[in-house]
Amino acid sequence: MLSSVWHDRASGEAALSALDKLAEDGLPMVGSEQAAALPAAASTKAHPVSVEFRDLGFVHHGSRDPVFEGFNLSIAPGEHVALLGPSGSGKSTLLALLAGLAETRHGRILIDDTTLDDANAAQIRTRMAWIGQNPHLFAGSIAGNIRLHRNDVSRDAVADALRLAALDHVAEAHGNAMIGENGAGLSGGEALRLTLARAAANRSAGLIIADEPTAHLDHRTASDITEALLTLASGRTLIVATHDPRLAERMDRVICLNEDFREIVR
Amino acid sequence: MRAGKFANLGPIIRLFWRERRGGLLAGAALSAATVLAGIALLGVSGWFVTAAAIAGLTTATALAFDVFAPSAAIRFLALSRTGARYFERLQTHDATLRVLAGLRVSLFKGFAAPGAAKALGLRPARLLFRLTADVDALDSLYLRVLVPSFVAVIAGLITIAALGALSWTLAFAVGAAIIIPGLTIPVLSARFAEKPARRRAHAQEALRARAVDLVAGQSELAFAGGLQDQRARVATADTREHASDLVLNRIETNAGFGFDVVTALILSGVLLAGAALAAAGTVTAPLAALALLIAFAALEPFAGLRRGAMELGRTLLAARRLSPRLDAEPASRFLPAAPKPGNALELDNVTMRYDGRARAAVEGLSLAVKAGEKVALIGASGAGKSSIMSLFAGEIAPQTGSVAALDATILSQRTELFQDSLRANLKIAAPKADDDTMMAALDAAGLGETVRALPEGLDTDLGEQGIGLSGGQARRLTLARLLLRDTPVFLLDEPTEGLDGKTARDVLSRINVRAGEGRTLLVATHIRREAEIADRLLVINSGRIIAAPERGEPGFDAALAALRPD
Repeated sequence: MLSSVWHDRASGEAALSALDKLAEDGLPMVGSEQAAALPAAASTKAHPVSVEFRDLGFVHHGSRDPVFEGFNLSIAPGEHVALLGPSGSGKSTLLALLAGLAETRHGRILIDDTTLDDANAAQIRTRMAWIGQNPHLFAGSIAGNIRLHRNDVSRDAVADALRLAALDHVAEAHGNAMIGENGAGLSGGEALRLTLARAAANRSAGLIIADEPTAHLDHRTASDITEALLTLASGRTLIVATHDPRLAERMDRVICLNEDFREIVR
Repeated sequence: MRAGKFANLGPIIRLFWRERRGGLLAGAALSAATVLAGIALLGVSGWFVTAAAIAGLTTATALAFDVFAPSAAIRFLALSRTGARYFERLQTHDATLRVLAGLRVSLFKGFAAPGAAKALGLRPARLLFRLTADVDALDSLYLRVLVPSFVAVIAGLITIAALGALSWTLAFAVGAAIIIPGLTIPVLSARFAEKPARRRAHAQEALRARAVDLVAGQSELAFAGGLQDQRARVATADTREHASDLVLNRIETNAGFGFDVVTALILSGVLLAGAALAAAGTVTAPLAALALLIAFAALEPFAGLRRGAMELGRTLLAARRLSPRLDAEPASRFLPAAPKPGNALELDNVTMRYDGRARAAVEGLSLAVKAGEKVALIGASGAGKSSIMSLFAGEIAPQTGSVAALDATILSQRTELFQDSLRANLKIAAPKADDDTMMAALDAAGLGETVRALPEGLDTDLGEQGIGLSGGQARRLTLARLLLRDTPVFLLDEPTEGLDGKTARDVLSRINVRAGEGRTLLVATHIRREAEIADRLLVINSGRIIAAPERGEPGFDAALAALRPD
């Protein structure tokens, strides 16, 4: 009897120290405690959103070298902007800050002249659509992965989104078959189309943020994705971080983030 | 609990039996010896104390009383009980852990069957959980169900035999009073606990999967406004686990209470019966004390069944999930046949469809690659290139048609590096390779200088997915692995994906140099630089070959030009 007490105590101690490690502080997300009230505007047509970075400063956790210092940029409603720059120049970081996925050190991010903060970030995010580099796919059907438990996304919206992303044939072939964690069962191009469809399903999004959408894709798939992205972004603001010159030349404005100076060179 | 549920225990018990029957039987015997020594110890002690007390009433009887034989017996029993307990723990745990180690090996073999690996990849978190938690749950079957049941029954029978020497009526009455509730309480607890135990296992699994989704899918959830909902789902799973825990605790407490009540009743019953028998002069007072303490000790092994009963539901669930993998194994194995002489790879009218998909990934496809030929499969993503590679590698079986291939090594799109030393990561390809061979392979892959510059060389530890290496270095390491395998066919699935042009060309030229030594090369790609090393291109669309230009033919350059430049 006592031996099992000792046993349990040892595993309890191991669990406690593992939990302590987990509880070490990470990077806070803006507005992660706020429930996003279901947008009343869900079915209403999106209106393009303006974006402004004002005196932005950001340092990675545990690093001394700031990624941004006194960074300013403003993007007009409906404008399509490409962020160009070598890896490590802060393209992805800028997008993450804009989405409130990480907190700025100082400065402000204004979306439609409203400063992004803890109280409104969750709400503002419902008006953004995100197309990430390494999308997380949940175990479930393709339609389920597009809907993501959003009750306001109708069956029609899913079908439209699939068509826009040219994923309707794949979805048909898959039926209700599961796609696995991390998108097992989908090719790289299909996984990206799925995130595109996910973004398209949010009809109230006025701002589309895309992080290297055409990286690691073959020629044809990349140009398909570019077209689909542009279709999706018509009448909306689009900010895309990319290495792909073909994608960049389709934008209204190209902004180069320079690694050394961290300022804009046009 | 229906009998059908126990059917799954069959393969598990057979496996235990096959793996270590001697060790398991020895463990059970030692366990029985421990308990019997305990019962005898308590009985003899009771008899001795009482007899000595009675003998001490007069000087004459006190002097005539033999103190030495019983005290020697008590010492012997005490020591042998301790010894038997020690070796019993050692033996039962050793045997169980060895059986489970063997079980893991056969499970991994089961998962190495074609198709099973794909299913594994689909739900990694779930299968990992099953491989660990389910296998662990099975140790309860032998340690806490089979051995305690065996020991308890033996103890019950011995008690009846021992008490029978005094009075058969008493013996059968006590035997029935011990065995009937002693088995009923665990059986009832197992029945009540089965559902909550299963619910708890499901809740634990859900908790893990949902927590992984919450963390890995944070951005997706944030944009879908689903962060709070996902948190709630995690909390729901946690609450469910907690609720099942409470139910299980209550059942266990009730079982313990039941045992205590039964013990008290039996003790008072035997005390009264012993007193009556002693008063009637049928037995002496010391023998009545012996009977009392034997009855007391005999109930203890039954109480040991309690924990096994609580875990039985979880054990049955584990058995249900794992049994199919244990029995169905080599029969489903698919390996490509040997090709015709002069050929390295052949597909003959092959159709392959992934489970649950309406459309075939490869349809009525025939192709042959001659030994020493260099061929590139080109086509858009989703055209079926990777499926063809998987067919040749024996990772998936075709529904119709035949696949033939020489011994081949595949370099897949994904760089799989393990959280271990560089040496261990290379030895996966060639377990017997020595350091010189490994360094030669690293040199050929263009990573030799880098590794030599590391203070710990081949002993350097890599993080998961090769953290600590750049993308190019990680790719070179997998290339070194490919070279170590040294098979006549190399299957390369987008070998330089994600590398910058310069590194990619260097890696490709190194592969080409190696392949130049009479090896067959099949490259699946959508990048021009990778297709350029081939002498023949196979253009794939929707699982069919639509063109097959050779170097020098007009279509060749046109097909190359259509590919992504870099």
